Amino acid sequence: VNTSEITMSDLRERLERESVRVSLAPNAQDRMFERGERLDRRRRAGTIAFGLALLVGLIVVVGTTLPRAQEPAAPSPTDALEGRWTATFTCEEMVRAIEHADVNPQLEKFWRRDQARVLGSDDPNDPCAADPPPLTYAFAFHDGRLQIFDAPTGSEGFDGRYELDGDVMKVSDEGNNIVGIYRVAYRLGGGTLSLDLLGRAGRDPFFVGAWESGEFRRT
Amino acid sequence: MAQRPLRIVPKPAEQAAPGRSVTPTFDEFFAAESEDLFRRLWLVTRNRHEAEEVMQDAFLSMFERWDRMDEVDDPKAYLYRTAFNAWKRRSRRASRALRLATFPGSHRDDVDAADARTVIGEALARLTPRQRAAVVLTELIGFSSEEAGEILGIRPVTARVLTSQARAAMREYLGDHDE
Repeated sequence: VNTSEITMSDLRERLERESVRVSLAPNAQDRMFERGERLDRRRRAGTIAFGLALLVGLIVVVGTTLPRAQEPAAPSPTDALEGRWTATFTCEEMVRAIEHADVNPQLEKFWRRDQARVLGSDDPNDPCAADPPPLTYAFAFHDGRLQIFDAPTGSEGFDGRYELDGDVMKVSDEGNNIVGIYRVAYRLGGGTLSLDLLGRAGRDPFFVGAWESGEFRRT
Repeated sequence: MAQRPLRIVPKPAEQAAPGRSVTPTFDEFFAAESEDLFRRLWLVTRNRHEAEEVMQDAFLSMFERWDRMDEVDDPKAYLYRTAFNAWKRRSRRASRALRLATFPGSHRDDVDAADARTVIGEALARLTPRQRAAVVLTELIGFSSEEAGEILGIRPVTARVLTSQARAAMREYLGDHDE
Protein backbone atom coordinates (compact mmCIF):
# COMPACT_ATOMS: atom_id res chain seq x y z
CA VAL A 1 0.00 0.00 0.00
CA ASN A 2 1.40 3.33 -0.97
CA THR A 3 1.52 5.97 1.78
CA SER A 4 -0.56 8.38 -0.22
CA GLU A 5 -3.32 5.82 -0.55
CA ILE A 6 -4.09 5.95 3.18
CA THR A 7 -6.74 8.62 3.46
CA MET A 8 -7.83 10.37 6.62
CA SER A 9 -11.19 8.63 6.60
CA ASP A 10 -9.29 5.36 6.38
CA LEU A 11 -7.14 6.45 9.33
CA ARG A 12 -10.24 7.36 11.32
CA GLU A 13 -11.86 4.06 10.54
CA ARG A 14 -8.75 2.14 11.50
CA LEU A 15 -8.45 4.06 14.76
CA GLU A 16 -12.09 3.25 15.48
CA ARG A 17 -11.50 -0.43 14.74
CA GLU A 18 -8.42 -0.41 16.94
CA SER A 19 -10.30 1.18 19.80
CA VAL A 20 -13.09 -1.43 19.82
CA ARG A 21 -10.53 -4.13 20.49
CA VAL A 22 -10.89 -3.32 24.15
CA SER A 23 -14.00 -3.21 26.31
CA LEU A 24 -14.72 -2.18 29.83
CA ALA A 25 -15.03 -5.13 32.17
CA PRO A 26 -18.51 -5.56 33.73
CA ASN A 27 -19.46 -3.50 36.81
CA ALA A 28 -17.31 -0.56 35.74
CA GLN A 29 -19.48 1.90 37.61
CA ASP A 30 -19.24 -0.06 40.86
CA ARG A 31 -15.47 -0.19 40.49
CA MET A 32 -15.42 3.54 39.91
CA PHE A 33 -17.37 4.36 43.08
CA GLU A 34 -15.33 1.87 45.12
CA ARG A 35 -12.14 3.57 43.94
CA GLY A 36 -13.66 6.98 44.67
CA GLU A 37 -14.41 5.88 48.23
CA ARG A 38 -10.88 4.49 48.61
CA LEU A 39 -9.41 7.79 47.42
CA ASP A 40 -11.70 9.71 49.80
CA ARG A 41 -10.66 7.54 52.73
CA ARG A 42 -7.01 8.05 51.83
CA ARG A 43 -7.52 11.80 51.61
CA ARG A 44 -9.31 11.87 54.97
CA ALA A 45 -6.61 9.69 56.57
CA GLY A 46 -3.98 12.04 55.16
CA THR A 47 -5.77 15.04 56.59
CA ILE A 48 -6.14 13.40 60.00
CA ALA A 49 -2.48 12.32 60.01
CA PHE A 50 -1.42 15.86 59.11
CA GLY A 51 -3.64 17.32 61.84
CA LEU A 52 -2.28 14.90 64.43
CA ALA A 53 1.30 15.65 63.42
CA LEU A 54 0.55 19.35 63.78
CA LEU A 55 -1.04 18.79 67.19
CA VAL A 56 1.89 16.69 68.41
CA GLY A 57 4.25 19.40 67.18
CA LEU A 58 2.31 22.06 69.08
CA ILE A 59 2.21 19.96 72.24
CA VAL A 60 5.97 19.40 72.02
CA VAL A 61 6.57 23.11 71.56
CA VAL A 62 4.25 24.16 74.38
CA GLY A 63 5.26 21.32 76.67
CA THR A 64 9.00 21.67 76.34
CA THR A 65 10.26 24.82 74.64
CA LEU A 66 7.91 27.30 76.28
CA PRO A 67 8.34 26.22 79.92
CA ARG A 68 12.09 26.03 79.44
CA ALA A 69 12.19 29.43 77.85
CA GLN A 70 10.26 30.86 80.76
CA GLU A 71 12.09 28.91 83.44
CA PRO A 72 13.10 31.28 86.21
CA ALA A 73 16.72 32.16 86.35
CA ALA A 74 18.66 30.91 89.31
CA PRO A 75 18.09 33.19 92.29
CA SER A 76 20.77 34.79 94.28
CA PRO A 77 22.60 32.33 96.54
CA THR A 78 20.87 33.64 99.62
CA ASP A 79 17.29 34.79 99.67
CA ALA A 80 14.72 35.43 102.34
CA LEU A 81 13.06 32.05 101.87
CA GLU A 82 16.23 29.93 101.92
CA GLY A 83 15.68 27.03 104.34
CA ARG A 84 12.95 24.65 105.40
CA TRP A 85 9.41 25.73 106.29
CA THR A 86 6.53 23.62 107.56
CA ALA A 87 2.81 24.23 107.94
CA THR A 88 0.48 22.07 110.01
CA PHE A 89 -3.29 22.29 109.69
CA THR A 90 -6.33 20.11 109.98
CA CYS A 91 -8.10 18.41 107.10
CA GLU A 92 -11.10 20.67 107.71
CA GLU A 93 -8.93 23.78 107.47
CA MET A 94 -7.58 22.51 104.17
CA VAL A 95 -11.10 21.87 102.81
CA ARG A 96 -12.20 25.33 103.92
CA ALA A 97 -9.24 26.88 102.11
CA ILE A 98 -10.32 25.08 98.97
CA GLU A 99 -13.93 26.19 99.42
CA HIS A 100 -12.92 29.81 99.90
CA ALA A 101 -10.64 29.83 96.87
CA ASP A 102 -11.85 30.21 93.34
CA VAL A 103 -10.73 26.76 92.26
CA ASN A 104 -11.68 24.94 89.07
CA PRO A 105 -14.81 22.87 89.96
CA GLN A 106 -13.73 19.86 87.90
CA LEU A 107 -10.30 19.92 89.45
CA GLU A 108 -11.86 20.26 92.90
CA LYS A 109 -13.86 17.05 92.40
CA PHE A 110 -10.71 15.32 91.31
CA TRP A 111 -8.79 16.78 94.27
CA ARG A 112 -11.47 15.65 96.78
CA ARG A 113 -11.43 12.11 95.41
CA ASP A 114 -7.61 12.03 95.49
CA GLN A 115 -7.38 13.41 99.03
CA ALA A 116 -10.12 11.05 100.25
CA ARG A 117 -8.02 8.15 98.97
CA VAL A 118 -4.82 9.53 100.52
CA LEU A 119 -6.48 10.27 103.88
CA GLY A 120 -8.40 6.99 104.10
CA SER A 121 -11.90 8.39 103.59
CA ASP A 122 -14.67 6.19 102.19
CA ASP A 123 -16.53 9.23 100.88
CA PRO A 124 -14.94 10.47 97.67
CA ASN A 125 -16.47 13.92 98.23
CA ASP A 126 -15.30 14.30 101.82
CA PRO A 127 -11.56 13.83 102.37
CA CYS A 128 -12.00 14.39 106.12
CA ALA A 129 -14.60 11.65 106.73
CA ALA A 130 -11.99 9.37 108.34
CA ASP A 131 -11.04 12.17 110.78
CA PRO A 132 -7.33 12.16 109.89
CA PRO A 133 -4.70 13.68 112.25
CA PRO A 134 -3.31 17.18 111.51
CA LEU A 135 -1.49 17.42 108.20
CA THR A 136 2.05 18.76 107.90
CA TYR A 137 3.50 20.03 104.62
CA ALA A 138 7.21 20.88 104.41
CA PHE A 139 8.70 23.34 101.87
CA ALA A 140 12.46 23.29 101.31
CA PHE A 141 13.92 26.34 99.53
CA HIS A 142 17.56 25.94 98.54
CA ASP A 143 19.59 27.71 95.89
CA GLY A 144 16.59 28.28 93.58
CA ARG A 145 15.22 24.77 94.09
CA LEU A 146 11.89 24.17 95.81
CA GLN A 147 10.92 20.76 97.13
CA ILE A 148 7.56 20.10 98.75
CA PHE A 149 7.00 17.11 101.01
CA ASP A 150 3.33 16.21 101.19
CA ALA A 151 1.15 15.25 104.16
CA PRO A 152 0.53 12.75 105.53
CA THR A 153 3.44 10.59 104.35
CA GLY A 154 6.12 13.26 103.95
CA SER A 155 6.96 11.98 100.46
CA GLU A 156 8.21 14.43 97.86
CA GLY A 157 5.27 15.80 95.88
CA PHE A 158 6.98 18.64 94.03
CA ASP A 159 10.49 19.38 92.83
CA GLY A 160 10.90 22.59 90.87
CA ARG A 161 12.56 25.99 90.65
CA TYR A 162 11.63 29.31 92.22
CA GLU A 163 12.67 32.90 91.73
CA LEU A 164 11.85 35.88 93.90
CA ASP A 165 10.71 39.04 92.18
CA GLY A 166 9.89 41.66 94.83
CA ASP A 167 7.17 40.15 97.01
CA VAL A 168 6.20 37.62 94.34
CA MET A 169 7.68 34.17 93.92
CA LYS A 170 7.69 32.58 90.45
CA VAL A 171 7.56 28.81 90.51
CA SER A 172 7.98 26.25 87.74
CA ASP A 173 8.77 22.54 87.43
CA GLU A 174 9.38 21.88 83.71
CA GLY A 175 5.74 21.04 83.18
CA ASN A 176 5.51 18.11 85.62
CA ASN A 177 2.83 19.77 87.77
CA ILE A 178 2.73 23.30 86.42
CA VAL A 179 2.22 24.47 82.87
CA GLY A 180 4.46 27.50 82.52
CA ILE A 181 4.86 29.48 85.72
CA TYR A 182 2.78 29.91 88.87
CA ARG A 183 3.01 33.25 90.66
CA VAL A 184 2.72 33.38 94.42
CA ALA A 185 2.66 36.44 96.71
CA TYR A 186 4.65 35.75 99.85
CA ARG A 187 4.77 37.61 103.13
CA LEU A 188 7.38 37.15 105.85
CA GLY A 189 6.84 38.31 109.40
CA GLY A 190 7.88 37.13 112.84
CA GLY A 191 9.35 33.86 111.60
CA THR A 192 6.26 32.98 109.64
CA LEU A 193 5.62 32.74 105.95
CA SER A 194 2.20 33.30 104.35
CA LEU A 195 1.56 32.35 100.76
CA ASP A 196 -1.14 33.63 98.43
CA LEU A 197 -1.42 31.92 95.06
CA LEU A 198 -2.09 34.37 92.22
CA GLY A 199 -3.97 33.94 88.95
CA ARG A 200 -4.01 30.40 87.55
CA ALA A 201 -2.22 29.08 90.60
CA GLY A 202 -5.14 30.15 92.80
CA ARG A 203 -7.53 27.96 90.82
CA ASP A 204 -5.45 24.79 91.28
CA PRO A 205 -6.81 22.94 94.36
CA PHE A 206 -3.70 20.79 94.73
CA PHE A 207 -1.66 23.98 95.25
CA VAL A 208 -4.29 25.82 97.29
CA GLY A 209 -4.57 22.89 99.71
CA ALA A 210 -0.85 22.69 100.37
CA TRP A 211 0.13 26.37 100.12
CA GLU A 212 -2.77 28.37 101.56
CA SER A 213 -4.29 26.20 104.31
CA GLY A 214 -2.00 27.44 107.07
CA GLU A 215 0.96 29.60 108.01
CA PHE A 216 4.49 28.23 107.52
CA ARG A 217 7.14 28.33 110.20
CA ARG A 218 10.86 28.05 109.67
CA THR A 219 12.19 24.75 111.01
CA MET B 1 -26.76 0.34 42.46
CA ALA B 2 -29.34 2.95 43.30
CA GLN B 3 -30.23 5.46 40.65
CA ARG B 4 -29.21 9.01 41.35
CA PRO B 5 -32.06 11.22 40.14
CA LEU B 6 -29.99 14.07 38.84
CA ARG B 7 -30.98 16.23 35.93
CA ILE B 8 -28.95 17.01 32.88
CA VAL B 9 -29.91 19.28 30.02
CA PRO B 10 -29.86 17.26 26.81
CA LYS B 11 -28.54 18.52 23.52
CA PRO B 12 -31.29 19.97 21.27
CA ALA B 13 -31.36 16.92 19.00
CA GLU B 14 -31.83 14.66 21.99
CA GLN B 15 -34.55 16.87 23.38
CA ALA B 16 -36.57 16.43 20.24
CA ALA B 17 -36.10 12.70 19.98
CA PRO B 18 -39.35 10.96 20.85
CA GLY B 19 -39.34 8.43 23.63
CA ARG B 20 -35.98 9.54 25.02
CA SER B 21 -35.78 10.70 28.59
CA VAL B 22 -34.82 14.36 28.84
CA THR B 23 -33.58 13.92 32.38
CA PRO B 24 -30.96 11.19 32.28
CA THR B 25 -29.51 10.18 35.57
CA PHE B 26 -25.82 10.00 36.20
CA ASP B 27 -26.06 6.24 35.81
CA GLU B 28 -27.61 6.64 32.34
CA PHE B 29 -24.93 9.12 31.34
CA PHE B 30 -22.24 6.73 32.57
CA ALA B 31 -23.80 3.82 30.69
CA ALA B 32 -23.98 5.87 27.48
CA GLU B 33 -20.48 7.37 27.51
CA SER B 34 -18.15 5.20 29.55
CA GLU B 35 -17.31 2.58 26.94
CA ASP B 36 -16.43 5.07 24.20
CA LEU B 37 -14.40 7.23 26.56
CA PHE B 38 -12.52 4.21 27.88
CA ARG B 39 -11.66 3.05 24.36
CA ARG B 40 -10.42 6.46 23.27
CA LEU B 41 -8.35 6.81 26.40
CA TRP B 42 -6.91 3.38 25.76
CA LEU B 43 -5.73 4.57 22.35
CA VAL B 44 -3.92 7.44 24.06
CA THR B 45 -2.56 5.67 27.12
CA ARG B 46 -2.07 2.23 25.51
CA ASN B 47 -2.83 0.75 28.91
CA ARG B 48 -6.23 -0.59 29.98
CA HIS B 49 -5.69 0.00 33.68
CA GLU B 50 -4.58 3.58 33.21
CA ALA B 51 -7.38 4.25 30.71
CA GLU B 52 -9.99 3.01 33.17
CA GLU B 53 -8.56 5.04 36.04
CA VAL B 54 -8.51 8.22 33.97
CA MET B 55 -12.08 7.50 32.89
CA GLN B 56 -13.08 6.95 36.53
CA ASP B 57 -11.42 10.23 37.57
CA ALA B 58 -13.39 12.10 34.91
CA PHE B 59 -16.75 10.56 35.81
CA LEU B 60 -16.14 10.98 39.56
CA SER B 61 -15.33 14.63 38.96
CA MET B 62 -18.59 15.02 37.05
CA PHE B 63 -20.53 13.08 39.67
CA GLU B 64 -19.42 15.55 42.34
CA ARG B 65 -20.81 18.39 40.23
CA TRP B 66 -23.79 16.56 38.77
CA ASP B 67 -26.36 18.84 40.42
CA ARG B 68 -24.84 21.76 38.50
CA MET B 69 -24.55 19.98 35.16
CA ASP B 70 -27.61 21.79 33.81
CA GLU B 71 -25.31 24.79 33.43
CA VAL B 72 -23.09 22.84 31.02
CA ASP B 73 -24.00 23.11 27.35
CA ASP B 74 -22.43 19.87 26.22
CA PRO B 75 -21.85 17.33 29.02
CA LYS B 76 -20.09 14.91 26.67
CA ALA B 77 -17.54 17.55 25.64
CA TYR B 78 -17.16 18.47 29.29
CA LEU B 79 -16.54 14.81 30.10
CA TYR B 80 -13.80 14.53 27.49
CA ARG B 81 -12.19 17.77 28.64
CA THR B 82 -12.20 16.52 32.22
CA ALA B 83 -10.80 13.15 31.18
CA PHE B 84 -7.96 14.55 29.11
CA ASN B 85 -7.12 17.02 31.87
CA ALA B 86 -6.93 14.10 34.29
CA TRP B 87 -4.72 12.23 31.82
CA LYS B 88 -2.43 15.28 31.52
CA ARG B 89 -2.06 15.54 35.29
CA ARG B 90 -1.22 11.86 35.53
CA SER B 91 1.27 12.15 32.67
CA ARG B 92 3.02 15.03 34.40
CA ARG B 93 3.24 13.05 37.64
CA ALA B 94 4.47 10.00 35.73
CA SER B 95 7.13 12.08 33.96
CA ARG B 96 8.36 13.45 37.26
CA ALA B 97 8.45 9.97 38.76
CA LEU B 98 10.30 8.68 35.71
CA ARG B 99 12.88 11.44 36.00
CA LEU B 100 13.42 10.51 39.64
CA ALA B 101 13.62 6.79 38.92
CA THR B 102 17.02 5.16 38.97
CA PHE B 103 16.39 3.15 35.82
CA PRO B 104 15.73 5.59 33.01
CA GLY B 105 15.07 2.87 30.41
CA SER B 106 11.56 2.10 31.65
CA HIS B 107 8.69 3.63 29.76
CA ARG B 108 4.99 3.52 30.59
CA ASP B 109 3.91 3.79 26.98
CA ASP B 110 3.20 0.20 26.01
CA VAL B 111 0.22 -1.88 24.99
CA ASP B 112 -1.06 -4.42 27.48
CA ALA B 113 0.91 -7.59 27.04
CA ALA B 114 -2.26 -9.63 26.64
CA ASP B 115 -3.31 -7.70 23.55
CA ALA B 116 -2.18 -8.89 20.19
CA ARG B 117 -0.41 -6.03 18.47
CA THR B 118 -1.85 -4.59 15.29
CA VAL B 119 -0.20 -2.43 12.65
CA ILE B 120 -2.30 0.57 13.62
CA GLY B 121 -1.52 -0.12 17.27
CA GLU B 122 2.19 -0.20 16.51
CA ALA B 123 1.84 3.04 14.57
CA LEU B 124 0.11 4.66 17.55
CA ALA B 125 2.73 3.33 19.93
CA ARG B 126 5.43 5.13 17.96
CA LEU B 127 3.81 8.50 18.52
CA THR B 128 4.44 10.67 21.55
CA PRO B 129 1.60 10.73 24.08
CA ARG B 130 0.74 14.30 23.06
CA GLN B 131 0.63 13.35 19.37
CA ARG B 132 -1.65 10.42 20.20
CA ALA B 133 -3.92 12.65 22.26
CA ALA B 134 -4.07 15.24 19.47
CA VAL B 135 -4.91 12.72 16.74
CA VAL B 136 -7.51 10.93 18.87
CA LEU B 137 -9.16 14.21 19.88
CA THR B 138 -9.30 15.63 16.36
CA GLU B 139 -9.45 12.69 13.96
CA LEU B 140 -11.45 10.22 16.01
CA ILE B 141 -13.59 12.26 18.40
CA GLY B 142 -13.95 15.22 16.07
CA PHE B 143 -12.84 18.15 18.19
CA SER B 144 -11.48 21.16 16.33
CA SER B 145 -7.84 22.15 16.75
CA GLU B 146 -8.98 25.02 18.96
CA GLU B 147 -10.96 22.66 21.19
CA ALA B 148 -8.16 20.08 21.25
CA GLY B 149 -5.68 22.82 22.14
CA GLU B 150 -7.90 23.99 24.98
CA ILE B 151 -8.29 20.46 26.30
CA LEU B 152 -4.57 19.74 26.12
CA GLY B 153 -3.59 23.13 27.48
CA ILE B 154 -1.68 24.09 24.35
CA ARG B 155 -2.15 26.67 21.61
CA PRO B 156 -4.41 25.67 18.67
CA VAL B 157 -1.47 25.91 16.31
CA THR B 158 0.47 23.46 18.48
CA ALA B 159 -2.50 21.10 18.42
CA ARG B 160 -2.54 21.35 14.60
CA VAL B 161 1.19 20.67 14.43
CA LEU B 162 0.91 17.66 16.73
CA THR B 163 -1.99 16.25 14.72
CA SER B 164 -0.15 16.81 11.49
CA GLN B 165 2.98 15.13 12.80
CA ALA B 166 0.90 12.21 14.05
CA ARG B 167 -0.88 11.81 10.73
CA ALA B 168 2.37 11.89 8.78
CA ALA B 169 4.08 9.40 11.06
CA MET B 170 1.12 7.03 10.97
CA ARG B 171 0.74 7.27 7.22
CA GLU B 172 4.37 6.48 6.78
CA TYR B 173 4.29 3.54 9.18
CA LEU B 174 1.06 2.14 7.76
CA GLY B 175 2.38 2.56 4.24
CA ASP B 176 5.47 0.57 5.08
CA HIS B 177 3.76 -2.19 7.03
CA ASP B 178 0.31 -2.76 5.51
CA GLU B 179 0.05 -5.62 3.15
